[in-house]
Amino acid sequence: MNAVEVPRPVMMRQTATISRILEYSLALCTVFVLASACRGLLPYTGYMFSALVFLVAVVLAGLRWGRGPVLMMAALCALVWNFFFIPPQYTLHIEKPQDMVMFVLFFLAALSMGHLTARVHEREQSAARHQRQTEAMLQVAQCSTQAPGASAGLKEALRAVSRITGARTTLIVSKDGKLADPPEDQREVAEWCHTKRQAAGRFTEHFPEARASWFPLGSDQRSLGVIGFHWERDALMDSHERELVEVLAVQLSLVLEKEKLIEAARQADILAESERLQRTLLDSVSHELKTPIAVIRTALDGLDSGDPWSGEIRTATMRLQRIVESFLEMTRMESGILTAQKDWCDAGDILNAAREPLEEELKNHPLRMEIAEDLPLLKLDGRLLAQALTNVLHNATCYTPPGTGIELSARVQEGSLVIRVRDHGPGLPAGEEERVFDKFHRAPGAPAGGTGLGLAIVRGFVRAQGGDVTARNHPDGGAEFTFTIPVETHPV
Amino acid sequence: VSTPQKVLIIDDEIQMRRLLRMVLEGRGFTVCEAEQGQQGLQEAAFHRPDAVLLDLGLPDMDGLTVLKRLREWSDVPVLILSVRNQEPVKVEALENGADDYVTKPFGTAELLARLTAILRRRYTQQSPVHTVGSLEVDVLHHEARLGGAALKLTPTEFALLKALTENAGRIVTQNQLIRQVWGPQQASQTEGLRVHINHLRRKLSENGPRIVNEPGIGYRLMEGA
Repeated sequence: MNAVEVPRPVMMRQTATISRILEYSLALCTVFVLASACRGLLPYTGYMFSALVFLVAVVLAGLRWGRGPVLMMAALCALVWNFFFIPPQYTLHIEKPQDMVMFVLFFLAALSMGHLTARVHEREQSAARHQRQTEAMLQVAQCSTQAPGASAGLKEALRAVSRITGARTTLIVSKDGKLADPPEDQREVAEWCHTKRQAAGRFTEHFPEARASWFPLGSDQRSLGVIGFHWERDALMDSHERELVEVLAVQLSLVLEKEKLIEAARQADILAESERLQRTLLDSVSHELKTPIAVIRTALDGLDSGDPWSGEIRTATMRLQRIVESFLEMTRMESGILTAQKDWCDAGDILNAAREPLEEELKNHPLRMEIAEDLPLLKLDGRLLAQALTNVLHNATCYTPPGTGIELSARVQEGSLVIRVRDHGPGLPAGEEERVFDKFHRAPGAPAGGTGLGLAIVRGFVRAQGGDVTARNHPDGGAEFTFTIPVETHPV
Repeated sequence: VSTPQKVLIIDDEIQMRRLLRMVLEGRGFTVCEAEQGQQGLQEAAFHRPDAVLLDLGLPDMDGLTVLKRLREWSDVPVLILSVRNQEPVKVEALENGADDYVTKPFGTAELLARLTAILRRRYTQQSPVHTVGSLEVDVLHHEARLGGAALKLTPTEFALLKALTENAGRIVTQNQLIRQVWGPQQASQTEGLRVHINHLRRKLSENGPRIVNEPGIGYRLMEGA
């Protein structure tokens, strides 16, 4: 959902000017009609009666119309009464002093009546406006909560805003601090509104020539987007209308904020659920694959160990076990559920743990370890690093002729643990130094057996701790792998 | 020991149970089996085994739950059978009262060594002198001797060594060690633990027992080669 547009509802809106003009003309008509009627009744009622009729009319008008028309009507009534009713008729001259007093009193009464009733009327109107605002806010809130689904709530809220303001509305949400594709012709004003967090466009100080008015959504800290109102061509906006629109914008911001939170929570749920599922699946696959191997190994242990047939099965089983474990590690790594659990480690412990599973293989490849005397404690995931080193050492035992040695050195250098593993075999084929870490990649001419996963896992495990591993051919022959892992250290 | 020791196997794989039964009976144990957690708990109550082999992945309930229920009323030694890459689960099991673990697929020798170690623990903990190879730790007199010669240890090192010899051959998690040596408030002070273990290793030298680390889990005291 980038930009949501809601069309203008089909509804007649009387603009302010039209209603004002209408009130003035109605006031004129009323005075004319009343004057004619009273003029007809004058012989029977006397001119004081018509004064009362005019007063009542002014009061009634004050209850319906604005201050201007009512005051005009009061003045007009006073003049009409004077001219047509107070003797001598058809002059503005007043003969009797008591008529003079009456006229002045009438004028004052009509004016104050008009003024007072108009004030009551204004109060009523403002109360009605507030009610309308409250209702509008309530409507927006209700629409958004009652709608099923997350984005439907926003749509409903927007529809309510459209209904209340009578304008076609466009909502543009912001993504990563930028508006998600605003309409081309409105781009400049919408973006200005978005970045300055100020109203812009029609009826405002900025870009008043624009077709629509744009209001920012969101809090002072965070902009969530903008909302545009496309009013009718002849529409006008007074301060009350503007206030209403701004209130609605705030309300809409709340809805938008809520939707965002709901969406974020939902995403997090989905992620957690899929991670849990993956873990369960991996655990069960792991169990299924390893149980038969465990059965074979236990059964083999029960057989005569000198038997060459069982010896072959044992070798194959160990190989199968390594492959299964590689595949599972790779899957775990790629599914992203592998996280480094860093803790203080002793480098010697890690190297021993790395060497231990290869006891058999290392008999043919004497391993010389050179660990700096003053090596401090290191904060890293010892299990992952040990596993990575095991893989590299295992590779070395596989790809070098029996009898050749392997050298391993460890030191801390510029805040990083640097481990080098060097063999004395034929080295890596030229140009393969980087590709050996690719998944399923096997160097040309590599002996049978192996999946091409071992070194990919090594790199994955080392990178999971923020480090890296590289390979090269040592100038004096043999392949050399260098692990570099940034570590916190603690003196021993 | 005149009467044969009884081992309960709780594992859902029938082949695994059959093989373990053959291995154990060949070593003079009597064996009873259960294929589900609930059944395992009943068997444990009924047969009162001397040790339990518990698989963590059971069909009806999680092995950890079985362990917790079992620990409510029994302190029978429990050996966990788990697959790799469950280090956090292993640690949780160990801290909930499991005595040790073996990772599937395992070798028979490894399984039997672990089983023997956890069966021995009961007697070690009751005696005032723990003996591991050439090392003797006299808990009563606060003394340690290596090959007859007295070892000079700081109080912390002695407490560490005592905790390790009590559980000789058996894994002790980092947190268990830290709690035993520094008290329950000191959890996750692993750097201190590592430093003291290093000092202790140096004092035990080449011919004494080895303190073997299992990354991410803890330490195991092994008789010297």
